[in-house]
Amino acid sequence: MTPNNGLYLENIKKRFVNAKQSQTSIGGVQNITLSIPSGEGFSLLGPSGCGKTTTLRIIGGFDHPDHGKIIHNGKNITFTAPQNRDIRTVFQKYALFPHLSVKENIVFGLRMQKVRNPEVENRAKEITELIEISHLLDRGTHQLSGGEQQRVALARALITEPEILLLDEPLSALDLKLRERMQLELLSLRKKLGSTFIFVTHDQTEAMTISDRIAVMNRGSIEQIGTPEEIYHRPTSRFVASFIGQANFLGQDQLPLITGSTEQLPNISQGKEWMVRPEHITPKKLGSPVNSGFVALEAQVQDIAFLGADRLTKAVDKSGKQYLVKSPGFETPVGQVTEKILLCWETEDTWTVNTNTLS
Amino acid sequence: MKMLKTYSFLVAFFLWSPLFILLYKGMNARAFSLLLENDALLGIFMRSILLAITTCIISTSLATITAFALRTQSSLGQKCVEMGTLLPMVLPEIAFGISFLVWFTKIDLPLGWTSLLLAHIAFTFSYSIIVMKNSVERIEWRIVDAAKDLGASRFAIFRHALFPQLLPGIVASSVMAFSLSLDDFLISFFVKGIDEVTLPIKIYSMMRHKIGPEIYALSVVLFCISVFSVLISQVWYLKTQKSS
Amino acid sequence: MDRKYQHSFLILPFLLWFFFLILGPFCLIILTSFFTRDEFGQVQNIFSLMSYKQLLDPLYFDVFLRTLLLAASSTLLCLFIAYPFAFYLSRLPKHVANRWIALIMIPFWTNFLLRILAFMDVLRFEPFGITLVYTNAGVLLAMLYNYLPFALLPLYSTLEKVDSSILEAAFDLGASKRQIFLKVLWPITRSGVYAAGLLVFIPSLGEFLIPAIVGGGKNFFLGTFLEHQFLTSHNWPLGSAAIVFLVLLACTLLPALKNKTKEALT
Repeated sequence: MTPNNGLYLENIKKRFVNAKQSQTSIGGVQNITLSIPSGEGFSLLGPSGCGKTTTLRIIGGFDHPDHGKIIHNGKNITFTAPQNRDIRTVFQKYALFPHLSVKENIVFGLRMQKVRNPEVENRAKEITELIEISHLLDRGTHQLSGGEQQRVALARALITEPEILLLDEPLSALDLKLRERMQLELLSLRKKLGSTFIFVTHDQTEAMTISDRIAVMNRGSIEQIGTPEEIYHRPTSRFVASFIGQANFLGQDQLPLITGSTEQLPNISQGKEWMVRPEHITPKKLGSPVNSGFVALEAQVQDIAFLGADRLTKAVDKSGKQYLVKSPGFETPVGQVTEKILLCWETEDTWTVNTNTLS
Repeated sequence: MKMLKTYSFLVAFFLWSPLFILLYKGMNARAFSLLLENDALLGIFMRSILLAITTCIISTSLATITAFALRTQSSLGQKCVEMGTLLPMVLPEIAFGISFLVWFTKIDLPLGWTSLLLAHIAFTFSYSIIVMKNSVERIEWRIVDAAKDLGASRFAIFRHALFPQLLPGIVASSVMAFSLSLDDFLISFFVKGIDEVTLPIKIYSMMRHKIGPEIYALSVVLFCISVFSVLISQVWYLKTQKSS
Repeated sequence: MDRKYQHSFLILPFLLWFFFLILGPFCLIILTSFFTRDEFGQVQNIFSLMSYKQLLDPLYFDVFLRTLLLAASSTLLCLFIAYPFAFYLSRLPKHVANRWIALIMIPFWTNFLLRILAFMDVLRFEPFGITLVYTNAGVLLAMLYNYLPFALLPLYSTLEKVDSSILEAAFDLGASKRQIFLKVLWPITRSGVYAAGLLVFIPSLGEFLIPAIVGGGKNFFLGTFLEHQFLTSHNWPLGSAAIVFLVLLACTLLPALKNKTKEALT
């Protein structure tokens, strides 16, 4: 059932006949179905070539799908031209017009719509105050820093008051501190405007910070859609589990090595594995008691790295499998390199994933 | 976009249409046999090829030396060389042809093979410099250092570390200088003196009098040379792109 | 640094070439333009501005004007035809565009005279009958044919630098195709177009073969005039004055190129 409110993509498929046909190395997509209610912050997350940019371009109107349809607030916009959609795009490298001043860049869309001057001035003033770039109005685009360019690109798109804003890797060109700041600013901007923001990113931390929900994509398909929590704690596939955060995977081979409440571990039949996050594993001295509800595994320490807030321990069990353990930095380290220790975790924290990905 | 594609094909067709005619008229046995019988024409053809080869060898070698010299120049020096190099490429060829004529006459240089060669080197030099400068700029000096580190002799360093990196540029520059020299009419026209004849000039005089089928057979040969040259430079260009 | 001076003699070939083969000859031309000639056609080392005065003769001026007109119209035509083609190429993936460029270089590197010869045949097959040969239109088309690559390559180089996302952004913001060209593409590529134009205009000022062969030699152009003065009438001072004038004209236009030329030619 297609909702009358929000964006709905149904079974979108696009194939590029050969890699050479596409201008950049963007990938084809298939079976893309998603539903984004108004006002949501949504991310398309995945490695390069996974099809997230293709999907974004189809939503924006710069490419047409081979199959499927796009419904926005009840209207079928699959083949509508970009400017006629209530959707605006902020491009990856901002795509500011180099020959126009900042102000003329921003009001470009209004000029194309033949909006009258007094209104243009008003809306320009409004948007530049909101995005805090009023002081840049007369500059040329080449005089701006990366962060400033990004704001101008945002202002240029938002001044036309779109219901949905598409952002293609908006923060990838910014340095770390600036990126973190912009993530929060984008979050507050969206809440203020009440618009829907759809992001494309390959950075999972970014996706988790700025989105209400995330679609994890791989090789042209959506692996999982969910809130950051759902995706992190209940990933449906090995791919999602390892793409978001770090994960330890265990299978039947490791079963004989596990002691403790093994009967409480979830069932892994054919094609499934256990997944335990590093922060759920506690390193203990060999010989420590294993409480009820916990399981343990003997492993030899390979490496310990102190990262300030965290301590990362790499260990290897008898079957040769490597584990990553994350402990709080303020705790005293357990075990030294080459020492054998016990890795403990709660059976409750053990999740199962499909070994094979969907495609 | 589809319209632009059709348009582009049309323009390309426009550029190729005379070639189709040349090939059509030239690809027959009669034309070729007449060509092979025309010793005079063949002789001139070979002379022009020789001139072109000599030109490209000298031009490329000197350009390579210059490209290396440029590395140690100040930025002002480099700018001057840049401007000096660009100048002959932008000014009308006829101005050069004539100034060579006047100059060679003044310094009593006999107008013939020597003057032709000097003039050809002169105007192909700019193009060669641009290619070789580009090529030298792309050299990975670490490879040379590695060769030194491993104890290679100076000759071995040149042969294994330096020369292979220069080769694409050398090929591109040679092909370009060769083509420019073989094809040149205007400058040769003024500098050749009374006795010497180059291929384009011979073709011009044939065009003014009698156009026999052997001209078309010749054009097929020249076309093949052109295709060959372009293919070589494309292949080598791709090689440089891959390695960078 | 010792290394620097050790190898500074390497610049010698360039210096030799520049002073001996480029600058020297031009200086001589400039000198010659101020000399006179005697009845036997020998250059006399007498300083005089006679040649320059002669150039102002309406007959010669006519030739010059006609040459300017031909060069200007050829340039405009070339730019007009080349721009859309270059734009199309600039939107293609690099390796595909390279194939197109190779395709264009092949005729470009085939002998010029033979191509003109065959081009005359092309002009003859026109539906209008034989009319295009020996006409102004025919000459113009032949100029277009010859100089198109001169405009195409620099234009491609300029257009290639315009990222598609800028055009898409304009499209997204409501610009029609016409508006995208007028308000976005043209302002950005304008200087590149001027550079490409100069790369056609200046060389075509010296063109005389095409009007001679395709136009039947009816009209005199600068090139024909120069050929006459140097090889037939032996009025070298007069010819030199004309060349000085030509080079001066080219040099006044060139500074407009400056950076653009280097970009465009590489």
